[in-house]
Amino acid sequence: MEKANRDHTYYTMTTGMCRECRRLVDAKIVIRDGQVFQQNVCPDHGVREALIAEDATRYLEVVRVPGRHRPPKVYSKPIDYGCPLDCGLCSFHVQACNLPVVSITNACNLECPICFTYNRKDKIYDMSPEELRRTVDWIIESSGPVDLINVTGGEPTLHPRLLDMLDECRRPEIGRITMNTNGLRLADDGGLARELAARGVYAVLSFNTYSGKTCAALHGRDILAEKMRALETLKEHAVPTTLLNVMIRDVNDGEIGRIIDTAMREDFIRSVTVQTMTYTGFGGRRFGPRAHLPVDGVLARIEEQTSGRIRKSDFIPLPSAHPLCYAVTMLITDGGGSFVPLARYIDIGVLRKVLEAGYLPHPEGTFFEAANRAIAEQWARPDRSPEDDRFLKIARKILDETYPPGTDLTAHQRQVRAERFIKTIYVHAHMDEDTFDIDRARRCGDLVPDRPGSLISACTYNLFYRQKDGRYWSGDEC
Amino acid sequence: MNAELLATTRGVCPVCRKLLPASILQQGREIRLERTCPEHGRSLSLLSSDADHYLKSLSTIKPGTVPLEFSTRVREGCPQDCGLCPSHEQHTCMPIIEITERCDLDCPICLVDSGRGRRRGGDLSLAEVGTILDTLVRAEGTLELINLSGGEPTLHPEIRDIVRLCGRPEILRTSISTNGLSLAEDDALLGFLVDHNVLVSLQFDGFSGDVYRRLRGADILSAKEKLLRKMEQRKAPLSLVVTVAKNVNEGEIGRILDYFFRHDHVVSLMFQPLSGSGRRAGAPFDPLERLTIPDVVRMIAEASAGRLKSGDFTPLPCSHPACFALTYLLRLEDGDFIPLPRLVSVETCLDIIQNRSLPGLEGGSFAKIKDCLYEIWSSSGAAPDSKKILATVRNMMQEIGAAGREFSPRAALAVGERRIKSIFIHHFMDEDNFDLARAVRCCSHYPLPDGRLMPACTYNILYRPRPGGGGPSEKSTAADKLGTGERT
Repeated sequence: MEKANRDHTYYTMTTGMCRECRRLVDAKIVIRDGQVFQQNVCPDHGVREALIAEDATRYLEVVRVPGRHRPPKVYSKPIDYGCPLDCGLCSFHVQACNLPVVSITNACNLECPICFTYNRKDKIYDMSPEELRRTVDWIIESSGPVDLINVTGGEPTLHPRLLDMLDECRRPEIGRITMNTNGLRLADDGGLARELAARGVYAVLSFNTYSGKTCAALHGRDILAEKMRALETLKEHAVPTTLLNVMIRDVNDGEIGRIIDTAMREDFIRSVTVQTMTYTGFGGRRFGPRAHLPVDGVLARIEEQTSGRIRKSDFIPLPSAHPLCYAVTMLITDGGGSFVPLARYIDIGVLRKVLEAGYLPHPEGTFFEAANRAIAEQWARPDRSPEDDRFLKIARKILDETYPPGTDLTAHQRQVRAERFIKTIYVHAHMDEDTFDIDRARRCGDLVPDRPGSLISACTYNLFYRQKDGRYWSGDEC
Repeated sequence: MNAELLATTRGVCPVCRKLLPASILQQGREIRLERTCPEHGRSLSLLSSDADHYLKSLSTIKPGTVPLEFSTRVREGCPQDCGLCPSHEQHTCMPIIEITERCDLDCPICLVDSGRGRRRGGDLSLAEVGTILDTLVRAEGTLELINLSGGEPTLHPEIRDIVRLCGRPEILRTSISTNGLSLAEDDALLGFLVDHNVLVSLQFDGFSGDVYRRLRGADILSAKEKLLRKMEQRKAPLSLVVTVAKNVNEGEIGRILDYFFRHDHVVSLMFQPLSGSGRRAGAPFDPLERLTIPDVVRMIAEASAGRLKSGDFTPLPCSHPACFALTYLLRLEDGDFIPLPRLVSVETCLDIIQNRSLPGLEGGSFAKIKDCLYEIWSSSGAAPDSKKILATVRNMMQEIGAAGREFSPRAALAVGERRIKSIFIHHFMDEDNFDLARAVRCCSHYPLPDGRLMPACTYNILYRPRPGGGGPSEKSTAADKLGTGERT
C-alpha cells in the first residue's frame, strides 16, 4: 500500500480557538491550491478550516517581513494564563495603542444582521464624560500621544451628551477624533455636522452598498436614502469623512469600485476603509453562509473593479499590524477623480516608513526626499506615460503646498496639508472564532479601553471579553 | 537595531521545560527565539545567524506524506498527544530505533544521556524490536531506511538477531550509528554487518585527538582511524556523522570533506551543529552563540577547496526547512563531483527528494530521477565539463534501465549509492531553540516499544525519561478562565 501525500502544504502552527467550545487550540496554517487556510484542531470538535488568504504567493511574501511595532509604555497585567487570557495589556503584546476604539454607548437605532458587536436595548449604558476623561488619560499614559481616537458605539450620535464626549477627546496628545456613525441622525441634522466640522471631528460613515435591497439585507431595513442624505450633509459642512465598507463575499463585493470612485471625486471624503465581514456579535454570528473574505481577496476585487487603476501590488501591509489584518494604499490626487498610487513611484521601504507610526501617513523627511527623487527621475524620462505626467503634476503640487517656500510648517500642519492630496484605502480583516490567531492579536494596535487601566485588542475583546464587560453586559446568557 | 516580530510559536523554558508562547524575532541579521517563563524569566536564543537564509527556506515547502496508520489520537493538542497523532504533518522517513542504553563512552555532549552508568540496563528485547518493526511497517508500508542507534548499538548482546529482524522485505536498508570503538576491534561483527548490507554510520568529529577529548571525553582518534581503514579495505558503504561545535572542530571540516571526496565508499556525510539537549555537561553553552545551518554551510563551502558553494545546498522540504540542508553530488566518470543543484533546477531536486531522506527508492520517484537525468542531459551543454557529465548520465541510465528490467528499489539504491554522494546538515533542536511549529513536520522519529513514534526533538526535550521526570507540562492555559464565553 502506497502512502499518499497531504492535499495541503503545512506552513506553520499558531494558537487559535474552537468555534464550538471556545477553547484555545492548535491552529495550523496550511496552503492548498494556491490559497491559505487556518485549521483549528479541536480535540472534541475536530478540524475546522477557514480561508485566511486567497493568494499564497503574496501571503508568503508578506508574512516573512517582520512587523514594525512600538511597544506599550506600561503593561498593566502580568503574564498569567497566556495570550489572550491575560489581556491587557501584558508584556506579550508588542504594539502600543495606535487606535483607541472607545464605545461611548451601546444604544443603537438599527439592528443590523451584519453587526459584529452587541448592543442591548435592555441594558443601555452611556459612558459619562468623566469616565471618558479617565479613559483618555490612561490611553495617553500607557501609549503616549496617538494620531487618532475613534469614538464608536452602538451608535454614538445617540449619546445624550455627544458633544461633551467629543470635547473630552480634544487633547494635545490626540491628533484627531474620528466618530463612527450609521448616518441616520446626520441625514437630517445639519447642525450636528456643523458641530463636528467646528471640532475637527472626522466622520466614519458606514457605507456598504448602492442597492436598497442589499442595504435592507445588511442593515435590517432599506436606509439607502438616509445614507445618501448623510453624505450630502457631510459634504455641505465639509466634514472630513471616511467611507467604511463592510465587504461580504457574493453579497456586496462588486460595489467597491464605485465606492472608491466616489471617494476619489469628492474632496470631503479622505479615505475608504474596507472591513471584511466578521462572523461575531449580535448579527455576525448568525449571518450565513460563513464565507471568509481575506484582505487579499478585497485587494483583488479592488484591482478588478478599478480596471487596474489600483492594483494589488499598490497595497502594502500596515507595518504596525499583522499582514493578515491590514493592508493600505496611498493614492495622490489633485481632485476631480484623477489619482496615482504612490507605490508605483516611491520605494516600498519608504512607504513603510511613512506608515510605521500607525495608521496615518507621516510624510516627513525621507518621504519628501524620496518624492523629490521620484519627481526628478520622472522628469528626466523621455518616455513618460500619461500616468507619469499625472504623478509629476500632483507630486509637485503636494511639495509646493507642504514645503511652501519661505514658511516653516510643523509636522502636524504638514500632515494636514498633505492629506488633502493623499487619499488612503485601508483594508482590514477582523478575526472571528475561525480566524482568531494570537500572533495577530498580540500585534494589534486597535485597542479597546474596557475601563481605565486596561486596554484589550479589539478582536480579543469581541471574542473573549465583551461578555465580561460589566458596563455593557450583565453576564447572563444572550 | 530593535528586534522585530516575525512570528509567534511555542517554545520551552530552558530551565523547567515548561511549554511557553514564543516570539520569533529578527534582530539585524539574526533570527532569535524569545520566551518568558513565569518562574524563570525571559530567555533569548539564536535560531539562525542568517535571516535571509532562514526566511528563504521558510517558503521551500512541499506537502507532507500521510502515514498509513497513526498511533495516538488528538486529545489535548500538540505536543501532549505525541506521537504520531493525526495532526502531525509528516510521516516517518527516518526511524531511529534506540536498541540499548549501554555505551562505552560518556560523551559530555551526549544528546540522549546514555553512558557507562547504564551498561547493564536498557536493552530492547528481540520481541520489542519486532513490535517496533511491526508498528513501522503498519505505519509506512515500505521503509527506505531504518537506523539502529543507542546508546552504542553494537554493544547490544543480540545485535545480530536484531539486524536479521530488520532484514524483512518491507525494509530496504538498515543503518547503524556507532562510535566505532568496539566495531574497530570486532572483525566478526563488522563482517556480519557488511554482509547484511548494513550501512555503518560512524560518529566522526575530525582527525584530532584533542577534539575527541573535548567532545567525547576521551582521545579515541586511533580507534576511529582503525575502523576507517577497515572500511576502506572492505570498500563497504560508510556514512560519517560529524558534530560541529563552535571553537572546537570547525577546523576539521576541510580534512573530513577531503576524506569524503577521496573515498568512493563514503556515501554520505552528515554535519550536526551541536545541540544542547540531553546532558549539557561540561562547557557552558551560550544560546546566542551557537552554530546554525547557514554557518555550517558557509564553513563547508570555505573548507571545500572550491568544490562546493553555499548555493549548492537546499533545505530538505520533507522536514521543516530550518531542520535540514543538503546537497547531492554526482560522481563523474573521472572521479570528479558536481553538485546536482548546479545541473537541475532546485524544483527538480526537491521533487526527487520530496519526503524521503534518500533519493530514488520508489517507482514514482524513479521516474522523476529519469526526468532529472534527461534534464541534466539537455542542459549540460551549457555546463563546463559537459562531456564528462553526459557520459556519466548515459552510463547511469544504462545501469538503472538495463535490459528493460522491472524497477527494483534495491537496484536503484545501489546505482544511486555508486553514483551519488550526499552531504546533509541536520540541526537538532534543544531547550533553547525548540519551536513547536517546526516539530509538527519532523520526519526523524524514535519508535518506542509501546507503539508510539516520537519526533526526535520533541522526545529528547519533552518526553525522554530523565531524573526529575519527562513529559510535557500541562497547558498553561486554563479553560475555566474563559468563563461565560459567547456560545454559538
